Amino acid sequence: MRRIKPKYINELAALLLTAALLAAGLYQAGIALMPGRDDFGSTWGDFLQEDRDSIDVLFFGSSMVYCDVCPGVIYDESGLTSYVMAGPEQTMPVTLAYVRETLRTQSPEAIVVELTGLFFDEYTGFSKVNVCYMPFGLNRIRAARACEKGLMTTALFPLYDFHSEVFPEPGVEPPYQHPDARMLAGYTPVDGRETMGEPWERTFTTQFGDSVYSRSRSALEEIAALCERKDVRLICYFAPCYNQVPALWRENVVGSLDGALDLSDLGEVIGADKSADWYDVLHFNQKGAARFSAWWASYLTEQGVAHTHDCDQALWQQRADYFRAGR
Amino acid sequence: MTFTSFSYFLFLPLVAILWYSLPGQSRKWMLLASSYLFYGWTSPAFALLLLATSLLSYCAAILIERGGERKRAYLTLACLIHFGALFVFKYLNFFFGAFTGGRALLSVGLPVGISFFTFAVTGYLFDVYRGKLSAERALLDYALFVAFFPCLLAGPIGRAREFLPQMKSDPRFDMTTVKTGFLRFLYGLFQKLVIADTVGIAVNLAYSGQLPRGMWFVIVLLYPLEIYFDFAGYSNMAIGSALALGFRVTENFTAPYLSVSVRSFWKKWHISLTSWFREYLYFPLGGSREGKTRTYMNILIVFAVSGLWHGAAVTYLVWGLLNGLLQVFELLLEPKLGPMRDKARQTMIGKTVAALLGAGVTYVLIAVTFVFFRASDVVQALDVLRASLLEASLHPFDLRMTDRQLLVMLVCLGVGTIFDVLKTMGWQPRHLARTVTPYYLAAAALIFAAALFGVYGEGFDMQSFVYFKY
Repeated sequence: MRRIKPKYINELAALLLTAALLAAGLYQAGIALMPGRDDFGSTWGDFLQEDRDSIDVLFFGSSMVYCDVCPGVIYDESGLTSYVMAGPEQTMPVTLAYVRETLRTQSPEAIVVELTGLFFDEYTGFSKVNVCYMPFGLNRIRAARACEKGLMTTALFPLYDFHSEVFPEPGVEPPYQHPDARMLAGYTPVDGRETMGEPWERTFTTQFGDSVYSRSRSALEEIAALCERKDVRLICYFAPCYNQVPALWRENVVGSLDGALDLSDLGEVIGADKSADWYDVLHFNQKGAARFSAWWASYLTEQGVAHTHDCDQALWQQRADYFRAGR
Repeated sequence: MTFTSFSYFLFLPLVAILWYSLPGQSRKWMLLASSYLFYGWTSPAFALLLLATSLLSYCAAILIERGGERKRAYLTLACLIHFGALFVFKYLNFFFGAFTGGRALLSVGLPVGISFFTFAVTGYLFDVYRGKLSAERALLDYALFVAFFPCLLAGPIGRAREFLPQMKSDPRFDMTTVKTGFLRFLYGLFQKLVIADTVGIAVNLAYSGQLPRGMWFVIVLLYPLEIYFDFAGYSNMAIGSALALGFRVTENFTAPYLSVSVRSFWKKWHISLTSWFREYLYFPLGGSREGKTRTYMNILIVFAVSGLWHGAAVTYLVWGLLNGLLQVFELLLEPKLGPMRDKARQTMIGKTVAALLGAGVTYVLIAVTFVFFRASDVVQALDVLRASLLEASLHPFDLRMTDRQLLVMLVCLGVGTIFDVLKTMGWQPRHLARTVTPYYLAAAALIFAAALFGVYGEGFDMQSFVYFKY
């Protein structure tokens, strides 16, 4: 057998070492240059700081979750620890990747999935935000695969998109950083009332095709199967809103899922005032979110979801106190 | 596929591995298939044009060689066909539009690289006609000469007499050559993504009317840097890719902006094209042997044709003629300037001042001609020159770049200039390729700089290579 010359072995070793250091350096540079983000979804950085196996309930979905569900209020009302892991216009396949990734560090009693995401198309304009803040690994790659073409490049090589931070536009503040991020547990508080689009109509404006729904549906079925395997209760719901998914679609979806809830009109039931508790046609403001979160606390308790996990009680009490003042 | 695409970053090493590991003829077939894959990646239909060009020129060369008294007729016919194809794709709409108020006759796009491979094959046919080269009988070798992917899209324009002997010598793996190739490729990537495209941001903003008119003189001085680092970057990537496969191709640039006259600039700028014109147009016209007036006329003809080679537009013609005129003026002034220059060069200070002054004046003159190269029409070019002369102002200094961006641009321009100076002093990337640690550090630094400071990805408009449209 021919012996490989030592100089080639040196070269190969140097090449591999350079490639490894370069890959690590470029990846870290990409991470370092990504704008800090701890609300409006993409809360992975904060989520991963939570104690392992300390969350009772995990909420997933879109802005209709991260603007509407406040874990601080839920804890205050029920003692249940919860976390919102939602992203803007997040599609169901990405939610599936989120569920898989969160279950690596948490073992919740229940997983709650908002269902409007069933009708979000592959390209939502927010895929980069939803995917590229995920921890690096198989689930991040799965999420990128479920998104528009080209996102894989950014998912694997964050500098591809985020090296723009080397040259930020003059005068532009770093986006989406909340001063009390740890208190939010994934929730994004919005204040006031958006007057655009008045009068609010009960019409669903999102366009989608059959392939979108069937893809989303199979992702939801995978979430259900995963929950069953992990012995986690799955609760699905349509969020309260004015821009509602048509009643027939909601009926079809809810009718085909065990324990699914249509809460589209819940706003009026829980006393949410159109002029004071809604931010816009889709989202509660902070006051409305407090009402809705209190409803969740009550509902989850009624359903027998109990606080069974060890958690940092001081932190959770801080979270409850943080939101109590504004309610 | 372009040199700056992710697919090419995988393609080149893969082809190199196969090239050095496959036996005999199979590796040549692999290289040919790879070249057609590379060319047909975005527009497969044009690969047929490349194939037709190869087959036609292959047969034409054999006919010319065997043609005896009819060889001139064969050469004329072959050139008519090759230049005819170039005319149809590149110039027909221009001339048709000139008589019909801008209407287009053909809706087919320009096949990428047609100007380059047409010149490569016609140069080969001229060489065969003149008996400088035997007609190639090995079709595979010849097809590889025409379609060799590193030089296919934008040169350097290949010379059969340089390429074919290398193909016959069957290049074997040489670590230093391969390492040199990859390092040159990375340096070209750095020149393109970091320097040219960063400068290009300001230039493009200016030409789309988004910068204050007072900044035009800065843009006029910046554009030559963009086009140089763009095309030199491309050429380095092409030469580097060829070297990675063990082939040496013509150098395209040798620090042109260090030239002290327009004439010497043109000996260092786009060398593969200027040498083609010198050999196949300027010399046949009589070169400088037929008296001064004829020499001046020949220079003007060559540069007018060179301008039109770049594109079917009046601006390119003006650009070419201006460069020709500047050289004619230099020749006319030479009897007066020459002795002054020689006198100045007698002292160290005088030599330095003459070099700096010569380089500065040459750069400004070249920059002025490039305004016609870049502008959309002559009216815009004249407006740019008028604003540069009469409205120049640094207040407000607005290139739409952050301070950090400006700093990076200036530092990288400095790095690019230092490399050019080192090159003129005899330093070669090959010297670095013989080392291990310094080589990999340099390679990593280039990749890291391109990744961090380069213009690419979302939010950035990655510029295609300037010379892709020619």
